[in-house]
Amino acid sequence: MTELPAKPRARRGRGHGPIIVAWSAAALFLALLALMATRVAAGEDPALRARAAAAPLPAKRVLIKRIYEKRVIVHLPATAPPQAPQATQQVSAGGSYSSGLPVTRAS
Amino acid sequence: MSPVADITFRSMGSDIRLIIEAPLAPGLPAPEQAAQIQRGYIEGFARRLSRFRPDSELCALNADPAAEVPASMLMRTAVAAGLWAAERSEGLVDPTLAGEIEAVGYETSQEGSTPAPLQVALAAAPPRAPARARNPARWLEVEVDEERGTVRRPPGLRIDTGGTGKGLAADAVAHRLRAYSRYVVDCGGDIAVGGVGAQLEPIAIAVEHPLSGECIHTLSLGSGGVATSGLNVRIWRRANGRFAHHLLNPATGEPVWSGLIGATALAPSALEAETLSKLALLSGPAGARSALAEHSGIVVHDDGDVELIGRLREGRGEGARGRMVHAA
Repeated sequence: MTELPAKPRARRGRGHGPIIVAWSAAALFLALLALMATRVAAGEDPALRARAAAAPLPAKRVLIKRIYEKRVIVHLPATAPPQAPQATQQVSAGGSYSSGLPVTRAS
Repeated sequence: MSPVADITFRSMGSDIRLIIEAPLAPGLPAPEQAAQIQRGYIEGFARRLSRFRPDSELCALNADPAAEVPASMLMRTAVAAGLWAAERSEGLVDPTLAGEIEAVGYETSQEGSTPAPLQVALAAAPPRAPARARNPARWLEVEVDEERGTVRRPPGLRIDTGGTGKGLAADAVAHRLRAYSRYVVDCGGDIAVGGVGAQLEPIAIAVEHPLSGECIHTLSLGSGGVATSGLNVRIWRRANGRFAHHLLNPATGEPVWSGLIGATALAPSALEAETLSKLALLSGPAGARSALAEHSGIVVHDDGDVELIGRLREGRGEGARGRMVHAA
């Protein structure tokens, strides 16, 4: 009986194929990692951007000006009382100024 | 150019207003120019005597380990004014409470900060009691030596001239303006008035209610000073949740809750008026009537009631104490 010569066994990639796949995967992973690291370093973190996009706009800041309003109310009694030497209810014409009376107050 | 200068600016943590009318002699600076000169003086005064500036003369004095320290004329005058106020108030207006005022939270300038609500603070405050002088009195250990140009005090005893600073500044500027016909020097409500013209035509000054800000009285001053002390401006909440303000009981080092929230005093000078207004507020209602009897004044009670004292009361007749309507 004639033996058929044994077919040469296909040696396709056996031994090298998995290594190439593994290296390729690792290289791809590292490339993507480097790309993301670059973007994060540049302040373009996709996670933060998504969160920022979802977050509501900050409240509009309003500058509140402090306005000093000086209200001068002169209480005139119904009947004219005797005037004290240094303290009266009358405001003399010469004693008033265009920007209001001087005011004594706690400070 | 206007014959009257009327300028307002910030210094000493307060609004400062200068009103100057015509000079009495030729060759003097015009009112507007005089106002700017006096503004520079007040700003220098505040800078040199500030408790909050490490480079001030006051901080240098307080940090000096020597018992006797050379001091400028301004520094000596400010310390002497504080000692005079202590003597005038029998130790209630005490210039040696620098450590105590810092301990209750007044360590830095409160410029721009919002005061705590006074009515809330009053509701949470301890039972009312007048202040008492510290015993033994530390201010008696402080001396000003004009001949040697020094201030002596035990090393480590720090001085706070802030209690009399505005009144002293108002008087100093008033003295510098004595050659003008009328002038008003308003250092944060501590006011000096003078000039020949003011005696002929007095100057009207409004007294502000500490709760509502309304005018509760209008004074007419020809010369001298008027000052107001109150709890409504320099008041804050401490880290422990309790409220504090800048008027301390010398005996305890704690803020005083005397039953009064404001006191206005008339006096021959702004320094004395400032001293008397603080004395009145620290003393409570009964003590205030005594303190303000000589030169007159006004006190505002915790509940907002206004009471006129001395000639003001006579001027208004009976029923001088009454509830003033004020905004909520």
